[in-house]
Amino acid sequence: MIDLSFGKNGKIPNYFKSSDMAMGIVVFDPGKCSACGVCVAICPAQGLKFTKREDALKKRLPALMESAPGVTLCMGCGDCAAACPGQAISVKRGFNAGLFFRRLAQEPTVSLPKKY
Amino acid sequence: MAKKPTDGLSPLYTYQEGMEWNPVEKVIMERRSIRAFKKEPVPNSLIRRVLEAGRFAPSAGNAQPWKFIVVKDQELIAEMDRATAKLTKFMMWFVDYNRGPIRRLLLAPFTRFMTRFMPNKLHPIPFNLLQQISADKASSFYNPPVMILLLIDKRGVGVPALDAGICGQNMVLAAHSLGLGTCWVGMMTVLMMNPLWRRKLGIKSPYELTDCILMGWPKGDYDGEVPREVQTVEWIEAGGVRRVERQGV
Repeated sequence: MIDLSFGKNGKIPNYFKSSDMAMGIVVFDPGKCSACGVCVAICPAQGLKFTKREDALKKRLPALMESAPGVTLCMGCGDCAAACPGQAISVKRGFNAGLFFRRLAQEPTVSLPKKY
Repeated sequence: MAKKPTDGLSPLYTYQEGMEWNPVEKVIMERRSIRAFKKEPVPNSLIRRVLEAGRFAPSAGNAQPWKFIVVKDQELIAEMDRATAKLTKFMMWFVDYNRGPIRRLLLAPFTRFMTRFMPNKLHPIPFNLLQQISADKASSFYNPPVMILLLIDKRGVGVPALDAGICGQNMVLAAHSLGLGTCWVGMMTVLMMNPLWRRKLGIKSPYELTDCILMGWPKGDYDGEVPREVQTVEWIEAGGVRRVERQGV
């Protein structure tokens, strides 16, 4: 059992340091994405934005904004993945703060609801 | 909301290993928090039907420690949104240590202490949301046609807040099965720090308000299954045999 009392493990994470926080990761499939902007409109954390530069397919795809390297606003809720009409978005990692706020019973891997 | 196909689902009250979801499970698995609502009003009879699901929720000792307030006044909701933003800005002035090097130096120890003092309210996720609201980048109530304030009677049996949560989730699932979209919003806690707003909404002593449920017709169809973290579950079998299982893989 991990000790969360005082000492090293009781420290509050720095919200703007990527080593203290594991933010969610969403990945866009550029082949399937039609840049309709549903995900940008509904993201509860306002963490997605359209990229300024066009890619090789002449599309401006949405992307997860980073306020510092590795630090995003994503909490891995998966609303964008559920809303996407082309199934172009996949959630690769959920949100897990470090140190004092770390989740103890959840693993970093994600999976869809399983029919037992 | 678009009518969803329900044929091909399993019948209720039966179980076979690995079978398709039944309608209740489907609503649970595909429920997403809806934050974009149509302007279209929700009929009163439908709101009453959803409230009825809350009235028949289980509670400790059948104490039913809850009270509902239905807000349909769009102006009041917009005013609440503005007031929350204002109060958030005031609050964040004291705890937001990320606005510059001097503030970081002076405020970081205080914020750390406060985070340890009230870890639930200053968890990284609400902290980020409070920052977004104080920077006018996010809204707290998303202009819903209906807002159900879920008041907790503090004199209930055991843990009244838990009973109120069960009641609210009953209503949310009923609303989703009827095609409505809902979202739990805890930003009400911020607004309830202001005694003027407590008086304006008529929230008096045995009752306290921490959460509300937004309800309306969803703009677009956002329901669907999403991946979640794998959970480690401890099983204690007969004879005290303990093992850990990974749930969901």
